[in-house]
Amino acid sequence: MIEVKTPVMRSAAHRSHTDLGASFERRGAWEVAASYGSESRETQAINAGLAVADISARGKLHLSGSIDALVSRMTGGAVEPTRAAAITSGGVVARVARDFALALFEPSAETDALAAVEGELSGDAMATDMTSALSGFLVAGPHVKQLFARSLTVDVEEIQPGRCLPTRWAHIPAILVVSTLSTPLVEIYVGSEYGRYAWRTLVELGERLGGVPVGWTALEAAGWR
Amino acid sequence: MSHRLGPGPWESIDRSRPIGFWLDGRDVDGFVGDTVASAIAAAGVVITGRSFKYHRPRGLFCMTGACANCLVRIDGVPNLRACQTQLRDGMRVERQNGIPSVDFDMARGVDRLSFFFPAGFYYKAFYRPRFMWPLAEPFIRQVAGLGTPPADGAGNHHYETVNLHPDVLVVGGGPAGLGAAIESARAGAKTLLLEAEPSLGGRLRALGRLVRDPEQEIGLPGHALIPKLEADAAQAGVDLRPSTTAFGVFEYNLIAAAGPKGLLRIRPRQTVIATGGLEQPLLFGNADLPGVVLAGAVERLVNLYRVVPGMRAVVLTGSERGYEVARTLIEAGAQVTVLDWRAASTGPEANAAASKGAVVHKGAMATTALGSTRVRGLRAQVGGARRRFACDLVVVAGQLVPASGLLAQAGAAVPYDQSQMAFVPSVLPDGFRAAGSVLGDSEPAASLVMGRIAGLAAAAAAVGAAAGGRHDALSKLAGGFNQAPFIRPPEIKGAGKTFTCLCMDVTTKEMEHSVAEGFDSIELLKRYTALGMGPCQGKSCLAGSVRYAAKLTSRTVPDTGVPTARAPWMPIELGLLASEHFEPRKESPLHDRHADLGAEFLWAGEWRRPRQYREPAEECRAVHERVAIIDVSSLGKFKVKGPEAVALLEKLYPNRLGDLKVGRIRYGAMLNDQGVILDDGTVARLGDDDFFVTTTTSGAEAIDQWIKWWMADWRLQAHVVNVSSAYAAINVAGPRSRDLMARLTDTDVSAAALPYLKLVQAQVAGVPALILRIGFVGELSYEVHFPGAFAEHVWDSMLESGSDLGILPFGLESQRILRLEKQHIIVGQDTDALSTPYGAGLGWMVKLDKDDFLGKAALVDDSRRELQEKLVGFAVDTGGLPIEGAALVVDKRPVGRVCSSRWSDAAGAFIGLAWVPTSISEEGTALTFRSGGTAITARVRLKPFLDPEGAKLRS
Repeated sequence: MIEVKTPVMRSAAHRSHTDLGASFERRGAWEVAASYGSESRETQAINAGLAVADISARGKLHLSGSIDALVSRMTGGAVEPTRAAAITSGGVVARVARDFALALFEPSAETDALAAVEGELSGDAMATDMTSALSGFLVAGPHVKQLFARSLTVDVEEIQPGRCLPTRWAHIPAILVVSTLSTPLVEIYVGSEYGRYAWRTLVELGERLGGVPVGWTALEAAGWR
Repeated sequence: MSHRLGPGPWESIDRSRPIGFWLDGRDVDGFVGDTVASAIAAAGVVITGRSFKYHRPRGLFCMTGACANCLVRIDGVPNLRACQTQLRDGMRVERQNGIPSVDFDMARGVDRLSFFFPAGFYYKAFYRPRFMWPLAEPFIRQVAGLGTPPADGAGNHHYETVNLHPDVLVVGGGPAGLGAAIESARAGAKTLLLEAEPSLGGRLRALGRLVRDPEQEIGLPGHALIPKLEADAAQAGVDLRPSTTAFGVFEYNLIAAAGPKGLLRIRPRQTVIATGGLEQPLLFGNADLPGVVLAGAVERLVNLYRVVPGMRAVVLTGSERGYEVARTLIEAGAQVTVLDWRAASTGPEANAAASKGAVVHKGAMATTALGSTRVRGLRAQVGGARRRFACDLVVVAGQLVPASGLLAQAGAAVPYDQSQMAFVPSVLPDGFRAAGSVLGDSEPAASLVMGRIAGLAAAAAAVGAAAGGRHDALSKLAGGFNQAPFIRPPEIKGAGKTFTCLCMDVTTKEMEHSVAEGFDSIELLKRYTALGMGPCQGKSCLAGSVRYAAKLTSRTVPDTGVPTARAPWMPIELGLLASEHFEPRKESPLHDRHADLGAEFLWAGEWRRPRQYREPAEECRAVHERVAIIDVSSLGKFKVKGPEAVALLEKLYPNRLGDLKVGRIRYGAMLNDQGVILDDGTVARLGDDDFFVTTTTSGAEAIDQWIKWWMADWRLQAHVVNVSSAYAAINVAGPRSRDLMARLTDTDVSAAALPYLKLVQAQVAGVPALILRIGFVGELSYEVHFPGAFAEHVWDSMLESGSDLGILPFGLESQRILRLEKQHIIVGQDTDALSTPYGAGLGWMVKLDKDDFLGKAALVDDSRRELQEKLVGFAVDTGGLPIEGAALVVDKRPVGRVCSSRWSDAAGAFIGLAWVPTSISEEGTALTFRSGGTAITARVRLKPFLDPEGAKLRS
């Protein structure tokens, strides 16, 4: 076997980040867009305008089957379908349906998480690493609802912190996970084959509403994990 | 010269802010607050355009956006309603349909040739002798129509789509709509109000008469009431949207509206329709001449824009409204004659007009307007005698009919009301309420109260707001209003053309001819004459047309009925309908790499995939002689796991999978319950109860649904997870592919360690991967699946490591050639909705001795019958490439078809797959295809064209 470069994981929209002038940093095995040139501008967008970000690097586990007990153990309490809750050891569980949840972690934490979860699985539940299957994006800022009014047919009033909405966003299947920093924040998860399309759509919609792409540095500084 | 009057008490123009615009290249002045139409009128321009068919001059008519007379081209965008467009500084306005100009139109002679252009003329004229139509058609196309398409770039702006979800939607910003919105919002409902015009108020805007609002201590002039209502609405939190036109009601009460920035898709819980009424013209000769206008237009021009459209006016009326307009004109300095078709009439407005100097004739009705480019006089019957009146303005103060188009689209019953002589909505669909003149001509004060009641009720239904005493009090007030019955004008035949539809230039004569030809229902009349199919969609013609149709067919008006209401109810820009800009596409994680390599892409379902990077022949050579890679990330991929995973797969596939050893792979096709091939792919066994299943690119989603459907029924202890998006996949093919793989992994990939149809989990280029020894293209090959986020890394590593091996990427076109050389089928391309495994040459995989599987019963039947047709390979002898879909002919009759065909360098022939009758499916049988009019001869080839024994594949 010949020497090969260290494997690096990239988002489906990686090239677009390059075109937008992003600088990149490593998060686990991932190369993520750290900033698009001005962290202060990006922070301002998060707090007072509209920010869009690529968070595909989040670790993602697909939990299916009889997952009540598993989810309760992970979060320290029951999580009803269409609700999201924090995982006690870090991360978020988005309970999409009675028999399906998405567990979200920091980049590259999914391998350990999967091992831990598999140890607790009952026979009629299954956990699958879906990190590469789903592209993840984030929309934050006071104008979040304006963006979704242009891309979502369900009432934007449904976008409330703690909700998890399986829906169609911009004509593709998506899971929305709503949380909050100092401003509204919505994470959008779509099939990675739609990743480039979804990012283009977000950037275009965002631009029309005065939004800007923001990198992980500004997001993390704002308290997002 | 300006034709403006002095300042008026409620004018809407700001005289301190003059602005300039261009009208047909001429510099013209206006004021902020003007519409384009009012500014044109103030400039003394009477002709606003030429008509659709006959090029007759047309002028301002309704001033409410309900007719098509003032369509102009603004800044390159055609067919905009001048009366609904606010004037802006520097606008370039052009009147339409004049050749070369509206004032000197060389096509005006068409009006005198109208006998050549009756309804349906294209079935009757210019078709004999045969050379006539090609000569006539270009002329007709040049002359007819409304406006010309915008030049590239003109009006090319972005239309956005916004979804809104109010508790209560109010359509219409007149007194009823404002009343409804205020009450709804005050009751706690999130309320949205849409008004088509730039300003709120509707009829109140140009109304000087006192209107009593129950909220106000005293009555206020209509125009003075608007700011108060607007303030109340704003204070209550109503989302007010002027210049926003609701134009359609669709399934599940979705309402579409055109706003200044684009399309609004509104899903309200409750809707109040308060679209008011539509003034109707009268049918008399030449009533389309510029200078013949509706009463509402005069009120708006004089009161809002301070333009008097004529100084010698004849007002045609049968109600107090005509006298109200007469008084307005007199106060503006005009001489006014009133022709009242009622034999006797009195009322406060009639008395006031008479006292101010209006000359009144009772029992009088117009027969013909006189003039060529504008009205110069009017012929009328007065008390049985013919009279002629000199005038430059004819005002029609006729009937106001409900603007019920949206309600009708929503499914409301709209029966004929004898007292109002109009079709009036009665039973409304769930979620809809109505108020104001949309339920029949009503006074503004009555509309306001009705609106308030409807708004309260809508809020109660939407958010459970308690209406209680407020509702009772308003209902009491509503009881105090009465609707005056409408008195129909007499119909007296005059000279000149009498138009029933101004938009489409349809005359009474054309309606007569159409009925005589048998088109005697209102729906057929509409389609044959285009009546009501123009921009106004029947708003300014339907009442008169239906009445006239009833007269022609000797039916009653209720029996005649009205045509089906359809969207758009108001004219909208075509761009708006295209505003939905979401065009999802699926792309591989390697998409940018393909683009960098110069790939030409094609659509494969929703996917964008590389068709080729260079000449396919060159790519095929790389596969046959060296090593090449293809991105197959779009394949469907599933994890099937659980104690009953085997049982599940045994039911899904016709072949046996229970005996598949761990680490082995088997090809399989899924069938539906009729035994028809749905999809194909591979099943790889990773562990005792752990499988990795692949499907075709196009079948992935359908198979996902298919499996879930059956899982719900079978209730087996197995999990199926669609991991199509999780894994990228690259097929490494060619005689040097093993060399390449050996450079990328420590795992032994030799023929002994990893033979054909075996798998191994390994690190490839440092990435955890699943290597499948399978191949679609006939050469030694490895299909490598790995987490998609590593795709660029693995792809780059392969190309870099294989550069000295002469590696090339290859696309779908080459893949199709290569698989044809092996006679491998593509489900969907080579199979159809009737193809079973037996006909498609896959009978070997069907194990009828299995317990059960999807399609078994049908296949058992099939196995007992003789096959009618088979899928076979063929190689062309003479005639070239038969196109896909070309017919196989025997005795000049089609008996089969070509599914796939390509040129193959390796085979040295045009080759393909075709469905042929079993009787001619033997090796070497001669076939004849008809392709593009050419006969192509070929021979059946039952074995692959290359490596028929599969030695390379298994090497």
